[in-house]
Amino acid sequence: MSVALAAGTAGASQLRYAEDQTPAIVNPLFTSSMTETRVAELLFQSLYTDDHTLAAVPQLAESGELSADRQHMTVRLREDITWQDGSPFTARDVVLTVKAMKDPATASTEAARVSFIADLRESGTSAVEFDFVRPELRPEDKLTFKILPAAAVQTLPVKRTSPFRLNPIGTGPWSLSKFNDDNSISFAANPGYKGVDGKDDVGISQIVLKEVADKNYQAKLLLYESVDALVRVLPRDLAMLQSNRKVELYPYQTNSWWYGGFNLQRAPFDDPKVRQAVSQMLDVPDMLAPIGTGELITGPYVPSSPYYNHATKPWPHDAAGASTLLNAAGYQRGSDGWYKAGKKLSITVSAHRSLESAQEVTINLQSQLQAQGVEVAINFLDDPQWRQQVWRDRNFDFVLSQWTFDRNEDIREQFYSTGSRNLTGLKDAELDKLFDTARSTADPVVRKATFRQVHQRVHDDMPMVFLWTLDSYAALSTRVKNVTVHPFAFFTWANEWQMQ
Amino acid sequence: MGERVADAVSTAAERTATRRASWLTPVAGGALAWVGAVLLVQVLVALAPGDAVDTLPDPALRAQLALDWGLGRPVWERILTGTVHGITGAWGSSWTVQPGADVAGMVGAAVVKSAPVLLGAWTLAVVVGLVARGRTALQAATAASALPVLLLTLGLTQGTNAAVWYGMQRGWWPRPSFFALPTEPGWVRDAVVIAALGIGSGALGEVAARFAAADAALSEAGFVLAARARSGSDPAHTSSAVRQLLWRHRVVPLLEASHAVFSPLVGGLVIVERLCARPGAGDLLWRAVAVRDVPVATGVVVALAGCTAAISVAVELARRAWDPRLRHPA
Amino acid sequence: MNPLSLHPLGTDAVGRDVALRLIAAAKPLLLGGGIAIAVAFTTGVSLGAVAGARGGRIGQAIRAAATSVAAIPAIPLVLVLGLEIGQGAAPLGLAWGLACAPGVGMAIFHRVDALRREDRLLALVAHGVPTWRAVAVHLVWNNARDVLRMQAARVLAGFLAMESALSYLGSAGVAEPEASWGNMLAMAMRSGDGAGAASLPVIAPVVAIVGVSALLWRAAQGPAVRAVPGLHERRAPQELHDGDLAATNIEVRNAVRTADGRRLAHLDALHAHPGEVVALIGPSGAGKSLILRAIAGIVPAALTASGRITRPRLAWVAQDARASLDPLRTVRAQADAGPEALKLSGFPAARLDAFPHALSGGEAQRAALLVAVAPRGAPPPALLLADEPTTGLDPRARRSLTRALRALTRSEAGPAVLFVTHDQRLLPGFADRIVPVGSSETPPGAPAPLAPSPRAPSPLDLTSTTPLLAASGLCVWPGLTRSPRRTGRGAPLLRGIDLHVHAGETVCLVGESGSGKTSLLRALNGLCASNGTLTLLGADPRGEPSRRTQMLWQDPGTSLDPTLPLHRLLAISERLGRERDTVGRTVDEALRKVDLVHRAKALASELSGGEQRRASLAQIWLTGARVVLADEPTAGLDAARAAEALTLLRAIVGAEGGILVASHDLTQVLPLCHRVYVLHEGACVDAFAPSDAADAARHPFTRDLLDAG
Repeated sequence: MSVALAAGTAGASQLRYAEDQTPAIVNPLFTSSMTETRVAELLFQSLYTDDHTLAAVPQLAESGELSADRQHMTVRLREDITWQDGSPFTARDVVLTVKAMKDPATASTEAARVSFIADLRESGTSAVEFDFVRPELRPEDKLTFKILPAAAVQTLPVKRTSPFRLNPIGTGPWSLSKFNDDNSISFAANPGYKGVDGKDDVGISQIVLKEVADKNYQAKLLLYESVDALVRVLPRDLAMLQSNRKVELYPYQTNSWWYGGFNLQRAPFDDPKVRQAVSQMLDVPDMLAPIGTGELITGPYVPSSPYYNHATKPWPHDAAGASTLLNAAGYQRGSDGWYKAGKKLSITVSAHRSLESAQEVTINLQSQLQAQGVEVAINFLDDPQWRQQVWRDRNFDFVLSQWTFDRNEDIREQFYSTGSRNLTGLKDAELDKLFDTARSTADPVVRKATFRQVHQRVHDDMPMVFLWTLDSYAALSTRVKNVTVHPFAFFTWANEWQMQ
Repeated sequence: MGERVADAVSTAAERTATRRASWLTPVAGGALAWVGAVLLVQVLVALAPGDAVDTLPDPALRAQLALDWGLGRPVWERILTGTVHGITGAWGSSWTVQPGADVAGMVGAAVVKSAPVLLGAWTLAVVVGLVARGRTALQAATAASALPVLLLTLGLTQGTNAAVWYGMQRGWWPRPSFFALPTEPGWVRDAVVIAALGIGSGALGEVAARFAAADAALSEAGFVLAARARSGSDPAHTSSAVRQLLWRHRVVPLLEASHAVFSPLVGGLVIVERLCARPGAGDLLWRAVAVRDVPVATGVVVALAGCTAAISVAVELARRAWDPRLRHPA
Repeated sequence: MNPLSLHPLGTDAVGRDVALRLIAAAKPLLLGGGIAIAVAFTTGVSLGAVAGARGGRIGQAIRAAATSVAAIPAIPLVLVLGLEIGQGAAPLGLAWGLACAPGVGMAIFHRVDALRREDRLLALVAHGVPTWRAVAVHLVWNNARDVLRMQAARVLAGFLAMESALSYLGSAGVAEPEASWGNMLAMAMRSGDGAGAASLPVIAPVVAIVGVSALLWRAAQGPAVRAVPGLHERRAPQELHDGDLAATNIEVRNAVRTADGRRLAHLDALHAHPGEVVALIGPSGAGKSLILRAIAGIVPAALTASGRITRPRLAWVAQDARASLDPLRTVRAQADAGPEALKLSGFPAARLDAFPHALSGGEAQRAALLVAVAPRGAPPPALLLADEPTTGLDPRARRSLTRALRALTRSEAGPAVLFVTHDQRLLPGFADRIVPVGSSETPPGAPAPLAPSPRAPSPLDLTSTTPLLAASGLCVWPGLTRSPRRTGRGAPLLRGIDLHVHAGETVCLVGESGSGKTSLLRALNGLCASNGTLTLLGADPRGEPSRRTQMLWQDPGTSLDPTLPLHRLLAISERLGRERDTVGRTVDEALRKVDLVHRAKALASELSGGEQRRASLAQIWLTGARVVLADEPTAGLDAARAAEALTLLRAIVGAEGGILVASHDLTQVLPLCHRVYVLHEGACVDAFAPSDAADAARHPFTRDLLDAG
């Protein structure tokens, strides 16, 4: 084992970063929030990871050959990698991890990431043979799920209550050293860490996750140098932090967009005309202004994405047009609102309580719609209510939220008629056909054109009002050097960071 | 006037029986109060409409817990088993805060973490209440406890930070170790929590008012007038004897006041620990309620009720030790 | 456009007017707070009142339940309940109300229990007011309204503090978009324009919370907090010596209420030498006690005393002897009990290790004397001040006390004794000098008014009429009960009582204190458990208490609700009377009968002692009672006032009514009644007419009572 600690990290350097809430479970199988994704990035590795140009490079894998029909792949693993408890990393760890993620009883939240794998098996101790469900263009981009040690995943179903959550063992640059008693977590550098292409030393010897529930307060703590990094900066603090020479802002979670999702399963938004009317009533720039800056979007991609269809025209903000659409849908304008067969048009808008700025946007949306006769009730839901009402029972009319994607930008699960994350309930056979052709073709040019048609079609079906992609930033103290922030997982290249 | 004489003549045996009873009754009373509290919590949780289990994300966990907690069984049976579990300390395991962790262990550790702050605030309220003699001091104490705990905590934390930061910018002093409340643990943060809890929860005002009422009654008591008459007329018998007599008689209202203010203190604990990001029973309760972890939430409430009942027993025993009228009822 | 014109307090992050939202935020406070008060009061007040009124086991059961609810801290309970019934002002108010119910309940319990112990409830029930009305209207609404106000303010203040904090924290209180000062503050802090704490949207909710909270806390304070007596006031050093007391021009003024300070008591000159017994005598209410306290230098906090007083080392004994003893220490710990002091005070050495509350009445008297004469850690006093030491004692105890004081002053280096009394019979052979204290109106030094010779009632021819009240073979158990017919528990207090009262007759019941006089009176009115035959106006009163009898209480204020003006108070009795078809007895005529027309508007608590006595007689007259049972109506009155009270009572009851008077002082009531029954050690040992009082056949105890007078 080569000497891990390079000269650079002589003194014990500590990076403290603030999160809204300490994660309930440190087990990548059950990751359900961005906080847990970032912690998993510190502790675990995957077969392939992103380099600075967001291209897939091997991490735990040594090399991989794809079969001619692109439906089978053999990945040879690196032999010099050990788990933080000293045991060697072998093919068995990979096989058992994927099997645990696919096990229905475990109900892992990451199951969708391995749905493209039909079967896999060890071949020797340092090679794994994958069989894919259908031919894959670039499987390396998809083999980015975190690998757990065999001991943690061998008995199925894996329970959330398993003791692994208190003592997670990974191969990543840091290991979980202690759950401190003030609800913070300390991570210590992993001496046996093997990085990508020989970068094995870990710049920062200790990282501490501090819980600062009061969002109003995180920016101030950065100024006071009580924390060294904020994952997401509130728009109101951007101006203050930019002008401060001790703080540096880095774009983060760029691959995310805000939307207002209709519930197509029940009135009144089962009627497309009503959906279009509501969308034309909304003045989107006026809703964006109080919460920060960003770019308006017309479809389910960020403008910087290759799949974004710049030809799609946004729906006009046209009150008169909205009225005619509502009349066409059978609504008459009464003195205090719109009525159809005696029933007043009134909708509930649901939003997640802990999503920054969601409250401001929802209240703005309410006042805009109420000014035009649509009665709006607001329902801010905390996490358990959000999962139950929105995801399981689909008990909502209109939902305001934000989607964040890793670099695959795979929106199939959101809009395919049987997609696991299709909360709007969109059923469009033509759109499904487009998704299938995009997935089956190997030619990147055809794939880009197909996804642009998906953009246009989703825009026309209007299951959602596509709002904007918010300029969102992370803020780090200038004492942290050599910083590059991964747009989704934040800590992917944290091992290169140095503390002054 | 009228019959005030003790009619019954108590024999020696009877007197020892009453003395033993006078120790047992408060302990039995405290235990009964706690059992009643556990039963009441179970009744309220069981009867309130809606069930926390069905907001849990994990279907497997939901099914398993429905089985564990017998959510299908009739209400009274759930209440009964819940109460028995509550009393025997078998509080089950946490659903979502730390899935699988033993609730009794978690709650025990949390209560131990909160204990110093709770006792600190309690002592602050009682000591300042004692010292706040005289009209102006009393009015100030009552006015201070009119400040709700929210504003007191925010003012103390953010005010201290702004002042320290102002000084640091001007180089008046180096960066103190406690700086940037409330994220830095330490005695300064605990002091802020104690001040906010002791004053904000209204405990100080309550204690000061009770002492004023007790002093008013004491000043007209016969034996006090007799002692003051005796000391007024004889320099050797200085007024320190009167002061000693008064302080001996202030112990009783002190004990009653300290018992009465303990419950609002425990109540305020949740808010202050949350605002000051200080781990403890209140913070654990908040976390459990946020993720709908019913066993942990009820566990914390039952534990806090246990502490309150224990304090009331301790205070009652102290009162009986101090006041012979309670020790040997006529 | 100047933002201030449209929005005086500016707008919040989302453009809503801050001033409007500030007012809208009052809605959850009033809604939630209102529900909290409603819940806390319906459960707390009703259970507290029942526990207070019933006392006994039911009271203990309710209080035990209250301690269970109180054991659960309020805010955690609110959070757990919010888990189930959802968030928002209404469920928060419901949960907070439940959490505050024990506090409200206990406060009401203490007030109602205190009123019950003063027999206020019993007086109302005996007068005929239905129990629920007596408790709900008179005890709770009239006499505990300040407690209700304070508790309501306390519940609201607590709710505001909790709701604003939970709304600020976000997940449990009042959530956006509903307005609450808590979530307004949270949004302002979160999205202020970087000005942080200085911006208007932050200051407005803070000022609102502090303002309302201060107002509520002010309302939640009791009166005790405002008027704080100075227990530790500094007193100018006195030049002290062992010799005489010399005091001139002593005045006690009431400096608090009126600027010039109404003079309450005045005495020109007073001196006392060691070994001398000086008596301060004057009518009740002449300020004798105030003079004594001025001399001792312990005037009540609200009054001021003036005058040149040189006082020797002195000791002061209160009227209620037991109150002069420190309840927390044994007698031995308070007194330097040498054999000589024990003999002088007459306190039994065996009881030295007892606590004051365990002493009997007589023992307490002697213990007070012992502690005064030989205080622990201090030299014996040169002057002993005693405030009405003999009041409330029966004749034998009174005689032995005066003999002990006499022996004390006669002992070598014995102190002087200065005592206050209204009882002239005490003075011959006991007091060396008498100093009259005139009431503030009559000039001091005027001769004490001689007691008018009481006019003996005209003899009655009783052979023909049937008695109004007749009891034979009556056994009485102490303690009030709902079902008097059942025999009580344990040994009866009185056995085999035979007595009867005829129309127009005034009968006296005499016995030592503790002999069961009061229990017998209550048994005759059907309030105490008793068996044996008992007829009242031809019926047995132990079923439903018959309204034809009324009780006259020793403290006349007991039957008067202090919060009501006199005419409304008497209207209640008038209505009770009308239920029993009394013809033509109206409030105005009652007032004229007892000469209180000029005081009709005054509150019952503002009446003087004598006026209260006459008001209670008016109550009795309005109900048309045929039999009046009076408990110690002459206690604390000098001979003239006692005679006047009984003649007025006879005028009220009229010729066809019967009066039964209980008293401990035979010599005082003997000349005022037709017949006397003597109670001693649980039996009626003697019954005789005043004319043959001196007859040899009297029971030795009766004879003892007669010559102790």
